[in-house]
Amino acid sequence: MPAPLEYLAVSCILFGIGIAGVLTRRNLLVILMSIELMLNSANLAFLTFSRLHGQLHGQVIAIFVMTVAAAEAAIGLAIVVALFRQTGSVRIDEATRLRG
Amino acid sequence: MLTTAIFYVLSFVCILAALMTVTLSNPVSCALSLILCLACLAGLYAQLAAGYVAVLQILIYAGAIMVLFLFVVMLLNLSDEEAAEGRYDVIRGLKGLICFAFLVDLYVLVEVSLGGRIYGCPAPGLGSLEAIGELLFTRYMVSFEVISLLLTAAVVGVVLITRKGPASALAAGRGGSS
Amino acid sequence: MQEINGVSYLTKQIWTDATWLRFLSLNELGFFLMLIAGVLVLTFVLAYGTFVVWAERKVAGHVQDRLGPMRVGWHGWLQTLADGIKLMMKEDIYPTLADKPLFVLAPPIVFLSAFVGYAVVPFSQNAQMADLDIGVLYIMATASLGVIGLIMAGWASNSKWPLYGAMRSAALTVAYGIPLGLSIIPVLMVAGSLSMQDLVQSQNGGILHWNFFRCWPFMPLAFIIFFISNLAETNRVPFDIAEAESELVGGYHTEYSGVSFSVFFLAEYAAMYLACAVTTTLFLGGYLPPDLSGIPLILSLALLGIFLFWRFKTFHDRSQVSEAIFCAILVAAITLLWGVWPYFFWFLAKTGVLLYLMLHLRWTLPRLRIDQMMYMCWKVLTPVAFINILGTGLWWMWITGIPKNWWPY
Repeated sequence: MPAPLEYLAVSCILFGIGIAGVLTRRNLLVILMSIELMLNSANLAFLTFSRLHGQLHGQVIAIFVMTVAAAEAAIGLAIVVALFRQTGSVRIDEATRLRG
Repeated sequence: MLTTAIFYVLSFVCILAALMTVTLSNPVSCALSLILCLACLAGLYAQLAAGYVAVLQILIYAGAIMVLFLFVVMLLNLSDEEAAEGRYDVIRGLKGLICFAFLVDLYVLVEVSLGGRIYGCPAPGLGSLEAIGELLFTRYMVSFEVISLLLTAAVVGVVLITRKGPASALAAGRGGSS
Repeated sequence: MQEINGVSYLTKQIWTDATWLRFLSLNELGFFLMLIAGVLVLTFVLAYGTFVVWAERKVAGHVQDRLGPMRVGWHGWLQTLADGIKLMMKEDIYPTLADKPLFVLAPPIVFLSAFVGYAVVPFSQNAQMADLDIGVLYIMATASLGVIGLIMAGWASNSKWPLYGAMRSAALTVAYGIPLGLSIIPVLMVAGSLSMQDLVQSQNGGILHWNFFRCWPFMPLAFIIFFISNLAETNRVPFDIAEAESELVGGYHTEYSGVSFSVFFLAEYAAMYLACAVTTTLFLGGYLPPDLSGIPLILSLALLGIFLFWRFKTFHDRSQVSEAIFCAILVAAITLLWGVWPYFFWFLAKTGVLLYLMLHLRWTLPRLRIDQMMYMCWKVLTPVAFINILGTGLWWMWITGIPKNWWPY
């Protein structure tokens, strides 16, 4: 069984990749995917600590995180579709207007 | 021994797929590599005695959320929009580097505070469905209800955001709210 | 039960760390046995897929007043094999502008997503590869991965018809996953478990204990919702807009040829059979024999008599009479043999009936439009499934009484 630190290392790396994606990409869809990646890395950390302490609370929180991620993805994609209808593009640096 | 090997394979593929998600230019390839990453993560979850969460991960993420992503990508017909605009400039590379520095910092912190702790003996029934259900409906009852409220709000919000006008409200909302 | 940190854990543990390790770090013998079991199941799926393709063509033929395949073997039963050999000899064509890695990967992913689910299907009491704690969820999760393969195929083909097919399939699968998940909840409430073996054993004790015959009208309604959703998930008629040949040429597999095409074909039938197997396990008692002793013998005989009388009255020629007599003999033989024949036979028989239903529906129903499907999913099946859960809960409370600790605080 690998040590908890190794799982946490994977979690950290994934979180870093997610942050890098959010900061460097301009495609709104890819940014949303990076956010999903970050949520998942948080989930991995939750489950590692749940396993480390032998308690289930981490798993329950992970389920909640997944539910919130589903809601977030639906809303985010709706915003992407609405934005595409307004500007004809999903590049985030073109979404400069507050009111359409 | 086998568990360790599986862990390394899964985490390697997972990180590779995550990198592909962030670096590939075609949104469809991004989404597909994210699916691979999430599937590998499900394997890691199962290793952590969280079989239920692992199956939910496949069911919700790979089966529903990512399909929705792919659907939207194909609906908007975005192919290589980002390829034309010079994806690699210095400032963005710098941003990525700063992220990694921050993360290394975080990991060092975790390592210092956690030291060489290993897993204790897992509680019997850890990860079993009954135990999770019991916890979910006793201690986390309020959170559970709030989450369901959140999902309802999300459905309504999606319908409101994506509708074109009052007349075609229903037709526009149907695809997004799934 | 034991108390840990104020939470009582059931001692039954299947997905705990230790057993999960046992599942993966098998010794050489265990690994070898698992491999053999996997190969056996694969052989079964391939053989059954071949048979079902032939059966579908025969059913299609008879529905349309034709004979169907008659040339290769007795009544053409080797036709699929011949077709398979033909497809294998053919060239695999890759479109020039296709995304080749995705194009090649898509058929295996579709097949794998259907095949992986067989790991938890209880063919018999002992013939099951792994009795997971979360068997039903596992099957639903792996089966939902199939649509990703379809999307990959549609996208990688770089052609408009496959893309349309993939989009339709995505919309359909995501939408119908909801009634699919909701309609199994009544069964899970009654059985109190998600393990496939537990689900079968909870229906032990004769045909009247099968979930389909319990709790009228809620359970049959759940069965119907589950069946319809499964039709949609496996892209079968009347939900086959993903490969509607009159609109989209061939749907997502338009550009495929040779072996990859046959893999798609096989995957569809594997998914169909998996759906039938899950339906049987959930609603029709799985591998348990239909012990009719719960029903008065006189009643069942009377029903049989009425059925036969009605059949004879509507007969037109002698071939149908002989068919009816054959059916009657078959029914009698089954009734006599129900204690003797093994569980596996009953599993095959029940899934066969469901499979026939699917084949028959394909050749009798017209295709639905996408908006009709969405209407049916969101405004008919989903609300009915919710009401179903409520009704089954009330029924179960009426049967077992209100539990003492129903209020957890």
